[in-house]
Amino acid sequence: MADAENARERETTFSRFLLPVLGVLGIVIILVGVRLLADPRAGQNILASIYDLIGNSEGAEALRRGLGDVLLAKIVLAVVALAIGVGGVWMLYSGVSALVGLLNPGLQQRIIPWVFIVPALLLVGIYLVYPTIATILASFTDGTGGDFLRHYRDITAGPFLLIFRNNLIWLIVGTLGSVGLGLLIAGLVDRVRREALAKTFIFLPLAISLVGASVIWRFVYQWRPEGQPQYGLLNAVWTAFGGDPVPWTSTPPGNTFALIVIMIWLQTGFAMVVLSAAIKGVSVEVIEAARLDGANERQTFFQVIVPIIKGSIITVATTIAIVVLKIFDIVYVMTGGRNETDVVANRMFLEMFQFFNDGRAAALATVLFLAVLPIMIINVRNLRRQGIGA
Amino acid sequence: MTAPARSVERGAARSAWRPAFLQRAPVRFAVIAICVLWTLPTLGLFVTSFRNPRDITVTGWWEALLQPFREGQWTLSNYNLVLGTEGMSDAFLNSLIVTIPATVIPITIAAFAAYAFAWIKFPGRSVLFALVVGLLVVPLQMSLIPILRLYSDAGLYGTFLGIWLAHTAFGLPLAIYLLYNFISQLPRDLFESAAIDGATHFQTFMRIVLPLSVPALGAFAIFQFLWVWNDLLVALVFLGVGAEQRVMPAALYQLVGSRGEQWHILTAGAFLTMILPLTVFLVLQRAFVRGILAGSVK
Amino acid sequence: MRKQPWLVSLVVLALLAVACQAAPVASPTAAPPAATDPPAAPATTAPTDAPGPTDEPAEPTDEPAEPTDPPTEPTGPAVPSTPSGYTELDAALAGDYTGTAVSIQTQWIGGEGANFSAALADFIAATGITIQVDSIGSSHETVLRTRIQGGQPPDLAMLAQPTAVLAYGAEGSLIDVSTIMDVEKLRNEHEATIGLVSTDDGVWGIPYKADVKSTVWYPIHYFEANNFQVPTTWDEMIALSDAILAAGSAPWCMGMEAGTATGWQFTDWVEEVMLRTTSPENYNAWIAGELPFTSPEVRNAFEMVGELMFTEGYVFGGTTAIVETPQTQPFDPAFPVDDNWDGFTPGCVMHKIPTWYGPDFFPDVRAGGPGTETMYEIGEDIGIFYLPMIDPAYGEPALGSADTLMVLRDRPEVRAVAQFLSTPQGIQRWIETGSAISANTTTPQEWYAGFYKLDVAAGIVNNASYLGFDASDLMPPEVGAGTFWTQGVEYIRNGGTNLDQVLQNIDASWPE
Repeated sequence: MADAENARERETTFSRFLLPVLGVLGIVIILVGVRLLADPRAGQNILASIYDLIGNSEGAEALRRGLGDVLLAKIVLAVVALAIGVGGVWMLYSGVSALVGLLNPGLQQRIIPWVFIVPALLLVGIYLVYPTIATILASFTDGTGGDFLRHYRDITAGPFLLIFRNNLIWLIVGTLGSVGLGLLIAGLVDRVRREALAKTFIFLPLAISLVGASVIWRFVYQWRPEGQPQYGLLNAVWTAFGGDPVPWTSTPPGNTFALIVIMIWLQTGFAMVVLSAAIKGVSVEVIEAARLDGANERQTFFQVIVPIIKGSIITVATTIAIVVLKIFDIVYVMTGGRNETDVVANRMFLEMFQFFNDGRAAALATVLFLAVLPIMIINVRNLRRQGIGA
Repeated sequence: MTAPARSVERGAARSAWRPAFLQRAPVRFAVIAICVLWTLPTLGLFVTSFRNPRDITVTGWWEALLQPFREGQWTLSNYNLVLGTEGMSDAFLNSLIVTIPATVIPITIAAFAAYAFAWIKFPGRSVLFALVVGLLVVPLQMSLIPILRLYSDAGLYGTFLGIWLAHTAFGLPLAIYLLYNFISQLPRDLFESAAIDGATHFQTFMRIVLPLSVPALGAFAIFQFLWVWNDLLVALVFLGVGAEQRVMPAALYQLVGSRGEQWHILTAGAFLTMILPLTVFLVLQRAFVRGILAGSVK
Repeated sequence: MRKQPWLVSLVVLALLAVACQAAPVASPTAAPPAATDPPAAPATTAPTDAPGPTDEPAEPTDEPAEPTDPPTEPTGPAVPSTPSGYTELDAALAGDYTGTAVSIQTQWIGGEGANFSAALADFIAATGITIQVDSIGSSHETVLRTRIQGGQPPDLAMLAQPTAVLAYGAEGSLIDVSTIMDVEKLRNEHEATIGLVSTDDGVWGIPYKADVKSTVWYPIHYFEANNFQVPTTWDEMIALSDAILAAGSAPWCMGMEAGTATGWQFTDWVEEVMLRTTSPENYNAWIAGELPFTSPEVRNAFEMVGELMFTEGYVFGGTTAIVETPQTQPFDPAFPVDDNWDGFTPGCVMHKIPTWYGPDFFPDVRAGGPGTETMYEIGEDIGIFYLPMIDPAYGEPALGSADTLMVLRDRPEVRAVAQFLSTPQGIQRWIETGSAISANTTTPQEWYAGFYKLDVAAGIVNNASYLGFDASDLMPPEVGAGTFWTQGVEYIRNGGTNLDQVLQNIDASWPE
């Protein structure tokens, strides 16, 4: 009894006095850490200081001159960084919360949420909001002044219609393809003996880097002249069945779909995992009831299960739709936007980095942003309907 | 074409969605076919990376599998070449240094924010949440130049700190979105009883939210890890290109050659960069699946 | 639980990774003596070179022959003798800037990257200036633009497109070269090229490496066996093409797939024909946007190129092969796999590609990776001829391109490096590998002697009635690195049927 009381007593003392101190310490650590780490040669400097501390001034000197054990310096840097990044951030949160805890309850209630979200807001504010606003402003700025809509007029002409059309194709086919296939596979693998293994195979592509994926798919779509050995998988199969080799990635309109297949290959695993999990969450009773009503398997799936997991489907679809609308890498690497495969993000990249048309790139970015916004609004609404906590 | 009774029993403990037709061989065959189809491209990469460079652009990779014992067609030289390249091991270490903090830091920050958005009432909550999640749509390329300008003033260019912060910020919208999905679905009773016990929000977060969110945290960790590990553009722009800071994808790209289509290097290198993420994924797979599941069901 | 084996394997993997790392590390702790060995120039091994010694001990086992080293070591180090005519360069060679560092960003990687490093090595040793070369490869332009816009430019940077150099100059990102070095000397030594990167406001770059584009590569033994002569007129070339076709090979090897840059070879072809079928005035008007693509002159050039590309059997693999074959591979069918040319019938024979082409791109070297020696010899097995003239009225013009050095920050040591790279010695070691041509016209001709490719190139330039610079590199990037490439690909892919549309599209993309 007394022990428990004591423990509680100690705990209050701890949280009352020690935590604020820890918080201040956390802030100091983060500030010092940031100053330390904001040096390209941070690792060497830190290791040198450690050497100084343990009396190895020779080693310290060597490090400062740029020699010595760079590897060790890097490992030290990583450890320090982890300590500051993780430990410091935790101390910051706990400390500031404790500091706020010293205030009166009413004030506490008002301040605490901000303690939790301000770091996140600060980061996205600097890294995402500020560039977005700058970009939108730039899209309305004409070098010669006066003509606010010039860049927008530019991007409504000529090839840009094709580009927007392609993005629409990507949005529809890419999203539906990934979600539909994911749903189908989720329904199928649920009953296969080695389910986890099957899922791993489907999920595998998500772990592959873009460089890797582009190499992989070049080996699928590779074209060689007729009569030459086809070392591209698709054309090997195609010619084995008597067809002439097809340049898959440079024959419109099929080539856009050839690229979308890559996206579907990458994203289906994501959809499948989420939806398969959702399917498992559907309660037995509901399905039994449907069966008793005489629904066959297909009806049960599409008329009972699918409506129940609608929320998951929307979440998956919006997430994938955003990825698809922003699609850049696949197009850039596979075709560079040639042969009528161009999309907004690729064009934006070209305008900005190759053509020196920053204004046009900004206008494209703004359009892309506006196009994705409705999807995001639907998503947030959907979340809200699911019921925000509290 | 009826299924053997045995497998029916075996599957008995599975989910409620258990249609009989799935027991049939064609369905099973379909699943296997899909798996094969999905794996085939990657298998091609894997096989090619062990082939003699001379053969790669002469015959299809499957030829090597058809005649596995033909002399001189298998080789480790592609891997020797990539691994033996000056700076590749440095690049591996750099990638680790970039990736680990850039995975852990955003999780922490996002978890706190997600909790606040989900369970604490404050003015402007839904607007701010919509804003943060809405930022998912910002194309990354838009941010590069303005941020680089800030970095050059702050002296953050070319530092690991700079790239950690950048990856953290770029990953936050998705992290908050995923974790919010999860945390907001936790049973309300938990929070009510915690409030009755007089727990502060910080204590509630530490004692209830965090332990229960491990799967969701793991799920996001995998996403962020994969993204940062495989990233080329952000690293090139913020970390610079010097040998001291080069990450794996950058090192790989440099091997390929400006005008070279060097399949043997590309395949071996691509596979090497895949190994770690694949291992991480396989290890954390269970947590991952549970995480995104919990985040989006209902 | 069952997770543990997984965790163990992860830990093992991590340990392995560290262990792999640790092995070479053991040596550098022993290595410092080597690093401190040359006390005279300690800075050369300073910061950026630090990782170097880490890897060296592991190296020798797999690479006995160091490919980067020039084969011969002629008279003394490749640095200009003082006084060089440039203040900072003299000071640098006197050791005034020892310990400073200069960064330079280039697109050269692999063999070219090694050659550029070799070109700098003697200067680094002589001055004690550390030069950090950021070789980026295909992302070069993107990274450079980002760094410049973001206020973190490298000290120096190489760029292939004069139009981009001028754009950077116009937006105020570059140091006017005429303010940091004797501009008269510079102009005199780079007469042919300096004008391309100059405006009334200043000189925005220093031409460094030149390439001749009007070169056609062919298998010599095959020509000899069939008694084919190198053509001296376009008509002879067409006749030769027909003869080769009759002898069972495709006369032309073409392959343009080059990622985002696909199509640049097509623009080269059109430029070659333009130079040979119209006046230099028209050529320059075309570059300036005054002669539209729909004009009869340009249209004719497209059609003549089309004649080569679309004639049945002329191009190995047909039109699709032109746009689908990676640009490193089209010449492969011209080589016998075993270097046995007796009775060898090549798949295709002639390949028009600039002088930067060479053994690095031969099939055996590509398959073998860095350090592989080719079994085919330029000048013995593989020859080069000048893409012949069309109309005697326009003589024998040549098409060229140049890489330009831009100066982005002004410090004495940066000036010194820029000045060094403007001298012949700045590229001497690269020349001595037999693969580079200096943009500096005072470069001693004997440096090129003995290298077949460079001899041919020098002959073409010396004989040229007019030297045209790569037009697409001078056009606005929307065209020269945009529609001219992409619409050219469309033109080829459609076998020339869409010529009107293609020409109109290119004209339409020309910025106001």
